[in-house]
Amino acid sequence: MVVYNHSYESIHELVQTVLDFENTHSLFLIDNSPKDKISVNLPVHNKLKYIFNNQNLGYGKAHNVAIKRILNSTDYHLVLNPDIVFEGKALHQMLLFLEQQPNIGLLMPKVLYGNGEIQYLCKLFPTPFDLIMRRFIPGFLKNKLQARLNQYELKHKNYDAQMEVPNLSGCFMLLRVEVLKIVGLFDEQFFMYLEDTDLSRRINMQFQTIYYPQVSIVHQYEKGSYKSLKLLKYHVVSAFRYFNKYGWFLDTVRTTINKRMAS
Amino acid sequence: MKVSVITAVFSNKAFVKNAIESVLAQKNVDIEYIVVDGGSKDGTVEIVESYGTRIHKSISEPDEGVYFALNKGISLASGDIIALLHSDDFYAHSFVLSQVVEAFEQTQCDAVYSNLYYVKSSNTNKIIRLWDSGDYKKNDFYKGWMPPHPAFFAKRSVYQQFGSFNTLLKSAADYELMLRLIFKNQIQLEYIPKFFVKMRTGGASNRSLLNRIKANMEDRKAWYINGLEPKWYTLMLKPLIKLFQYRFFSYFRPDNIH
Repeated sequence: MVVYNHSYESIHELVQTVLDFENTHSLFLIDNSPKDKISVNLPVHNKLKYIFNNQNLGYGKAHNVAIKRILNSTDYHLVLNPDIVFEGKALHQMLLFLEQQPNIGLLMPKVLYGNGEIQYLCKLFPTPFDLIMRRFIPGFLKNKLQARLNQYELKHKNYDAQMEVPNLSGCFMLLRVEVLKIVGLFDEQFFMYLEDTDLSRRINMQFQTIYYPQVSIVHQYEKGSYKSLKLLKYHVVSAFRYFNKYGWFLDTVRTTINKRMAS
Repeated sequence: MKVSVITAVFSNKAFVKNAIESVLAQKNVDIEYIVVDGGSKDGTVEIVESYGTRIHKSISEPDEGVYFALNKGISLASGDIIALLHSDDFYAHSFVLSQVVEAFEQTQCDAVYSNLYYVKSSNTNKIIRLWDSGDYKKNDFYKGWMPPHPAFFAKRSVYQQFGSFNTLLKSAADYELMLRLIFKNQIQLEYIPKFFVKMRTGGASNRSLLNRIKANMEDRKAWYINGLEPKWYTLMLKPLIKLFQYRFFSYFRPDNIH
């Protein structure tokens, strides 16, 4: 779990959930904040490891700090947002499923808002158009383009059914460590945004990336980059890097896989 | 389901080890591994023998080329599924064949195909080109399409019914096989859009115009042998498709984890 200027009160419940979970090997709290404000409040626990970076490394790179430490000691790794609420038995069921299905590299559960509404976090591989549209198109045009946006978020799919999804959200990623060793960790050129899409894509190229709605978790989601200019800048830079990496308009892998998901 | 993996090799001491290890490393799958050597004298045979009984069947005798060797291997195989892996190529990781078997079990298909990475010979982590097969549609063969045969896995019964490589052809024997199985006899295909095989590219593939013309004639023969008629553009598109694969992934930079 990576935190940035979070108060301890806002994460302590989640920390407790993870520490209470019987299969937890360790919980890494990676702090990207400018000042260490939370370590004094942390409970003393042999599984809890707090790492203060003393700078904002970016989201993916901070996660890599933790992943590099567990590569040789655990079988699974959970990438967790600080604004998640979940129950231990949900994670337990997901782990059991991964144990039975060795070809799966990444598993994401159903994600709900605090009010129980569903979050559409199963996505296609983005095109430049999708990302621009989501951000910049004014409301009156959006209605007309909504169909395409829905397609991008796979709203035509049954969100109650298990399926393979090419692009899964980074808010709750259960990863097989053996697979990470093969496809690599988060790409650190993405400071924030799209690092999850990139990792999901690299796993999907060789392993299965599965949406598993048999269990659900809650995510108090706010789309930060729609409010702050700084976050907007990160988003745009990441988008440029993503398309430079995989191709802007001629990305055959994207074409093939998105087309399959359309039906 | 048991998978018979067949590797044909001739004097390839440098890379054969890589191919063998990638097969033996496959997890959660029942494998029969067959290595057919064409009578190498450079130490290849010793490498193959060093794996003892982990390689279930191996032969070493002079043959008339790689497709003869693969046919020999297919006739020795006893598995339900046949996988063909050249000695220059290797599986991308240890969960390739288990995913192939899973697809067979879930779909009742006759054959499964996937994608392939072309990698640099000196550094196999460096991806040069993608062979992104795509979903198959009936007319794709007219557009010069074919799946990569190292990433093509068929039931043994398919080979029993429709035959294996036609050795009248030299360079186009793989193309002819795909054409015959998929286009002519319309076996049930299943596509896994993942990159399962890494193929080394070398300087040897420098195609001269003469070679290109020869290859074109061979490709044409592949159609006629089967009593099929290509479209006027089919055989022109075939090499063009490969060129097309090249450029768009020059950006592709797989991450190094170490």
